[in-house]
Amino acid sequence: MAAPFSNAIGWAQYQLLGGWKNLAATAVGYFVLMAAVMYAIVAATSPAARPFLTYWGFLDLFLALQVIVVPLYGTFRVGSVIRADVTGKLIESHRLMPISGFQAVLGYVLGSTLQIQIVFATNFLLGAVAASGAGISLRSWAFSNAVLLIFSICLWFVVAFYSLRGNALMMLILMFLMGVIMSGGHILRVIPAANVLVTPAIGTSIFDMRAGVTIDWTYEVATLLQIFIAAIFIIAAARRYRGDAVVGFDPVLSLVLLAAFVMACALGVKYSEDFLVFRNRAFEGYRDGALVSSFAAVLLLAMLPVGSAVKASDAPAAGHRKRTLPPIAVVVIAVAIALGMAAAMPATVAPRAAIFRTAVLICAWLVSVRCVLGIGYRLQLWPRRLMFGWLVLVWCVPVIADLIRQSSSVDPDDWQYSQLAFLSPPAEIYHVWGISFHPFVHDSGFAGLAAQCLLALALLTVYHGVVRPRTGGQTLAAATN
Amino acid sequence: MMPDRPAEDAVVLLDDALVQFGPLAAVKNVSFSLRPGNLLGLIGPNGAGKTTLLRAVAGIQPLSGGVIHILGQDLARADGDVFRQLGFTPDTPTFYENLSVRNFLKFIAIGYGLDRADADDRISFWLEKVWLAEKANQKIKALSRGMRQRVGLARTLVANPAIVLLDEPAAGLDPAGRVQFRQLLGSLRDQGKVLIVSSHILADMEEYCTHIGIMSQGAMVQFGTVAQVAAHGNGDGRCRYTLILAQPATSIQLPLKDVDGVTSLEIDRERVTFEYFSSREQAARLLSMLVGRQVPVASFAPNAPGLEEAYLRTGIRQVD
Repeated sequence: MAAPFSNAIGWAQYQLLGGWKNLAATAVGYFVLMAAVMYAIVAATSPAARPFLTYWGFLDLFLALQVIVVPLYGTFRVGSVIRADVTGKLIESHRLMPISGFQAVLGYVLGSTLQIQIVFATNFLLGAVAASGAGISLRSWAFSNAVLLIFSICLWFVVAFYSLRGNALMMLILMFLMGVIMSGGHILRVIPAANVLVTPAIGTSIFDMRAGVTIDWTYEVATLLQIFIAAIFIIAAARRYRGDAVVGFDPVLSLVLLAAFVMACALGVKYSEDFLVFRNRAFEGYRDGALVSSFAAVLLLAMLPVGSAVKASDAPAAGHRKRTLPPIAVVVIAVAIALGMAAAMPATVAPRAAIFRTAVLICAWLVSVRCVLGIGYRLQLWPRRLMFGWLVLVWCVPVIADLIRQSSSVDPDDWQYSQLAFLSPPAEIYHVWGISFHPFVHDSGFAGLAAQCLLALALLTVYHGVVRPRTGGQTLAAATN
Repeated sequence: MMPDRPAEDAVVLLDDALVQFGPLAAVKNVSFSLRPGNLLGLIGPNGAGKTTLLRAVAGIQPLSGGVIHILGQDLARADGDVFRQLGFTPDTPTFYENLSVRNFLKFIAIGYGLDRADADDRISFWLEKVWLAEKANQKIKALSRGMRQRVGLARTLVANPAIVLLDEPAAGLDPAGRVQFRQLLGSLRDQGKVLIVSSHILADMEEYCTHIGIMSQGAMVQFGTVAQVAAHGNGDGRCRYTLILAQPATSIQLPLKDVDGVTSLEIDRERVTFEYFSSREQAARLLSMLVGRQVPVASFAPNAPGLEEAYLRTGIRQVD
């Protein structure tokens, strides 16, 4: 709470919220109102109706309010405050001040959420009263609130980065959170890394205080990972704050993020029973799907360091040239990191051949990403759109074509995926790693993988042999900004 | 005219500064240097690159090529201390509209690391200087355009930077405000600060600037002291003349097009402007030729040398 008062942006946000008078009025008014309502309802409850049940109800209410106020409204608040400064160009005025990007991001996050922090503290105090009335340990209530607060603060920093980038990803994060709540956690099972990182939903979850929330290793590991990823986003946001053309995620930081994500994915797959969202046994049996979707997510995230290295190499932003890892080195490191996913698989289904095959697949995919983006930057062909088109073409079209082939055949032997589908990287992952779950739908061929390698080689030839930079680096840099 | 040679004690030094947006070069290889007490006025039509140049010197706009040194440090690699010495007011300053004028300036003071007592003193001083003391506790959203311009000026000056960059600072100021503003700029210049000001009010700039830079299509087409640039209007033995006719030029036979040495002829009803040799003898011969051919001359005079004349002689036709 002290940071905003020595931090210019935090101080401005504090003043915009009306200063201490407004904040104190909010805290006192809210506390008195909620305490009066709780007291009146408990007093009106007859002893036969067991007042502790009423306190339970209030405890649930205060926890629900914490969820609405801290992760949901807080995320919206941080994002909208930063977006307002970016779109109103006020951020340019801030950038003239000699304050570091880190201080600025801290000011935005802590300053804009001061009112939320006060409401959180008030709810915590009221909830403590309700917990003692309901006979629930104060430790459980404090733990639930701490998990929620740490998760929310990490989320705010992630949103701060995306809001500085100037696109609408903040809304996607809010939609994801709403999706988690509305699906009862099903969404988290699709990508186990999300299951690990959304700490409030781990295991019995913070919402089941009656069962007794305990601090086990899953919370400790997940919280550490969460804080580590938030720290990565703070660094990226602090860089991004310094200028619109500044790259937030350079190849090195992107590789660190990829490593953290791979670790979260591997933990989520390997220890799915421990992290199982809301301890819902109905989610069990998704392991093959979870593994394939995790690999697909890793392949997508691996595009970030490769893309960043390609941009730095083929189209460096004007005024922000600095030495960084060459794209091919980034590809090699990213492949090594992505292979960490194999650690999630039991030894019986992770033979060396499968790991080698996966390495070849990831390498072919990332080399093709490197070449498509490089061609896009050099020919000034909207590299991101070109990459998106390439992604849809390579990932979806082979699978759709194979599904059409299957549906048009009357022979039951043809009703399984063929090498045509395995032209698609995620389908090939399923081919390699899903065999222990559905062995009858797979063959042991490698034509699809070979075709992916040939495609990557062809793109490499086009990139190095045919496409030359049309202009000097400086002109090109300005053109692609 | 070539820019001054880079000086040892240059506070601001641009060397081949280039800013490109795609194929468009908004600032083309601009080089100049400024010492303490220099006040550079940037002149040029809209889109000439003045604002982009100011943003580049402020460190907001990255360069595509070249280098800018501020206080001897490369701006692209500069630390917070250099930015502490840079103040920039854009043509339309942005604010937290719901803060009062005083609180907004306090925010800026905290950003520049001023202690509370120093900040309060400086804020009061600059509010007085920009004639906003009475509006100190008013919310910014309630201020007029001219007053917002003054808050923008105070925002820049409260940190006491050594280099002050002002983009169209006089826009929106009333006549009295312009006079006070000229005095303020003169006082800052006399304190040894370096100022770069873009403006379209050439008469004012002639009064307070020490240097003038004329920009067109991103290039600095002229740069020098006010006297050098103004003299450039007559520097090559030629100058512009204004001829006033007793009748509209369309109704008479005007023989000027055929006269050797007459260029840049422009006719606007009775008013005719053109370039010709500046010597009095040649001017007298031209006048007697016109009179001899029955041209109804009401007045004939060379234009007085000055910034406006120098600007017009650059051939930049788009005038704001």
